[in-house]
Amino acid sequence: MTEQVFECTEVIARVYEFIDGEADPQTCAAIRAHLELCESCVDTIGEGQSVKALVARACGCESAPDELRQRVSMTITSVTIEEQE
Amino acid sequence: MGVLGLMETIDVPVALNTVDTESAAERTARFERDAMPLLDQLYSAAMRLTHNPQDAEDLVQDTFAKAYASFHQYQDGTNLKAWMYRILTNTFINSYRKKQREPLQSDADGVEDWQLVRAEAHTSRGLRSAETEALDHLPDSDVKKALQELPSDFRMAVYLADVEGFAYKEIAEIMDTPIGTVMSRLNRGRSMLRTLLQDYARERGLIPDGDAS
Repeated sequence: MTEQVFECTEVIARVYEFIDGEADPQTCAAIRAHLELCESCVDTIGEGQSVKALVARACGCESAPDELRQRVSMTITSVTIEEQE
Repeated sequence: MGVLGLMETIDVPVALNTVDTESAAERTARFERDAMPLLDQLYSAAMRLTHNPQDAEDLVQDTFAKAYASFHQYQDGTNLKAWMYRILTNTFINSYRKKQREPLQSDADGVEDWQLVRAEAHTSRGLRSAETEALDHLPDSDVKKALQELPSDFRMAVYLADVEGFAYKEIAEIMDTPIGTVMSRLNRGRSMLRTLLQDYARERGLIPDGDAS
């Protein structure tokens, strides 16, 4: 079987599936084959990966305040005590 | 049917089997062991959703209270993080989003096309590489600000994919929407995000103004 090579439009339509690891193996192979030939699509993929990495780096690292942790623990404990009574 | 069980228009997913034999104390211990370690993660998501610490705390508190109240319905072995996120998302939509008077999704659809055109307008290779590199130098506060500019459905999809690394199928179940809608939200959300980040990078002088030759 000849390996499929996508056109630019086909790659651009699947950039996020590719980046997110959601594309099936044939699609990934066809995208990779295109990337061998097309610098512009390499940039498009790189851009998508950068933005994804940036969000992962910057947006998920809050620590819950101790007060919230205590509030949540208290809720659980008080519900349990009510149930046991 | 999905891994999260039957879903109705309520905040808490209803699982098929329930744990009947468990005592309240055992359930509490199980909740503390399995659910409490998710507190920081859910608080981070709540911060991105609500934009302020007070609402984020209330949202997380409500989420954990609802999760605990329904924890006897949660089946060991299914995806607890996704289950908790489902409760968080539903609670946000039903309580906090109304309070915050965010524009409806349909109002946000119109912003897409011109932003895509703007984002695609830079095709010069050198400029694009430089821009991509410049984005890495943006402070975290700019990235958070850009994410908060997105409509909450787009923001949540991007957050779940990029920060939590959920699969499209899991995001679809958390947000109670078809996978196609998840993909479209990610697509639109990320292209808006990229445009905003490029604007911020330009404002900070990380990307030169004007045309590249």
